[in-house]
Amino acid sequence: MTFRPAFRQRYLWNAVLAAAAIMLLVWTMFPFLWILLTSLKSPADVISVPPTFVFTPTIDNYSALVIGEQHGQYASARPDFPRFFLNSIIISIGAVALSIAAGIPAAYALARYNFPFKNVSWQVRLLAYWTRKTNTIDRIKCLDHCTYSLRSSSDVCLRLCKKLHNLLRKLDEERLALLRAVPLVTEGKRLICSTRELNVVKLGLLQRLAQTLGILGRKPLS
Amino acid sequence: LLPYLLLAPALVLLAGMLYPFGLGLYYSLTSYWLQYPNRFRFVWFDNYVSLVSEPLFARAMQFTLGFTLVAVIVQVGLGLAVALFLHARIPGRNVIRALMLMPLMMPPVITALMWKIMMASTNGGILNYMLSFIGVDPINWFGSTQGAVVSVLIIDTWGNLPFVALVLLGGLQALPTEPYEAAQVDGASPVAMLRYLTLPLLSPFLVLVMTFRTMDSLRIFDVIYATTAGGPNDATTNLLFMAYQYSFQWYQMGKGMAQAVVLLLLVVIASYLLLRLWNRAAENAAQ
Repeated sequence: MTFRPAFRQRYLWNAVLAAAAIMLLVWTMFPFLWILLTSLKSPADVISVPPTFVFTPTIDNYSALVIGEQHGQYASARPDFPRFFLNSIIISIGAVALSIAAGIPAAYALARYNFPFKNVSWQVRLLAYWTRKTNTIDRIKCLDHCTYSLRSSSDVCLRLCKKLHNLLRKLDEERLALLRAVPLVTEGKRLICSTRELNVVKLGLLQRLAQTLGILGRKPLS
Repeated sequence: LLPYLLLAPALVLLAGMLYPFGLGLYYSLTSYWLQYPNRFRFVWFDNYVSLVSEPLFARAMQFTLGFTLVAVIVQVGLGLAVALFLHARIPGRNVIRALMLMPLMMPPVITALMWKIMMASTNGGILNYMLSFIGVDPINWFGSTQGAVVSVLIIDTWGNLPFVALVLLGGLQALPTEPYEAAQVDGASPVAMLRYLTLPLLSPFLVLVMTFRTMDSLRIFDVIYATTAGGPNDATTNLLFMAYQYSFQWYQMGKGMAQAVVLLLLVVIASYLLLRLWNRAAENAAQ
């Protein structure tokens, strides 16, 4: 009879966990579900009182994006959707290309060489992060894109360094000794590695990222 | 010379960033008003002084600081709960983790519009409709001053909770296992382990995520712009939105820039203090 309270407690605990899981999923997914449903509704269904979950779905809203209004439901003219799509692609590819082109040599220089004012440039990059959004008010859009790509490149550098640092701290003694055989450039608290070490660490880093995201499960990458 | 050559492209971009920043700083010291180009003068700190007697500024400051405080506490608290939950061994954990990340992929403006549709107070918005089943009277989400503040908080929390939970979950997974084994051998209760092991070990991550959230909450704009536009009765006007209104709706560039500079100072001070706290927390946790 002594095990019964513990048994009941575990049932209760499982029920609490299940309720938490359901609450979390509803909180996260319901807006998506509702917007998906709304996008498939005709205008009359969208504003129906009370809101309906049962209706005849229509793809008019989607086709309107590409081929324009069919039934004159809205007053506005056809949005130039392909053009907007192209704009997004141009901006994202441009920003990524620019930040990589500027970020890789800069990261290499900061990691491999010692030179005067090196630390200053790190501080300035942090300032770039701070000012990012306050400055979006400035309407100089072109310059703004530059800001943005710079921000992300310095962001990537910082994050990579931090991740490597954490990872190296976590590695078991054996591999740590192996890594110690290769010279490390330690600069204050930041730990910066050569490309060779980067390759050693990269695999573990990928695996760890995948685990954190929980998408690939716990299977080690090979 | 080579390192400078390698840094050159980044420095050029940096100059492109610092130029508008410097320009804004300069404009904040002038009487730049788009409607009256003739009145352009260098007025030193007049714009800053006039902010003090501006009632909207006091309210915007109050909202900015209050919102940041509440948002950071709520989001880090809930995020910690979610992270602990996702760290526990539960069936379907990986699926829940992947689904939970979905709000991170949404642009904040789209998030805000999504919730705006759901929070419609007239004609039966879905949220009020669902609440009516558990006996809650229809809530005037964006129409009342308190309702608008709470709505913005809910939307911001929905969009940023995954980020907080993800960082803290990463922190939880990086914690050493030995202290927990030792605590188990000593017969510590789960609550005690949470209080005396997890929280101290996790403190660098907590402070880090608080830093990020503080910076972003101080300068929240997208959600406010897409839903309440600062209203009703300026209840959700924060410093950044006020600066936007001054600059681009009332064309008083000088005053707008002065407000932006004040906000920048606020963000820099807050993040500097939090980063110092973070360094200390990291040192303590490493010992």
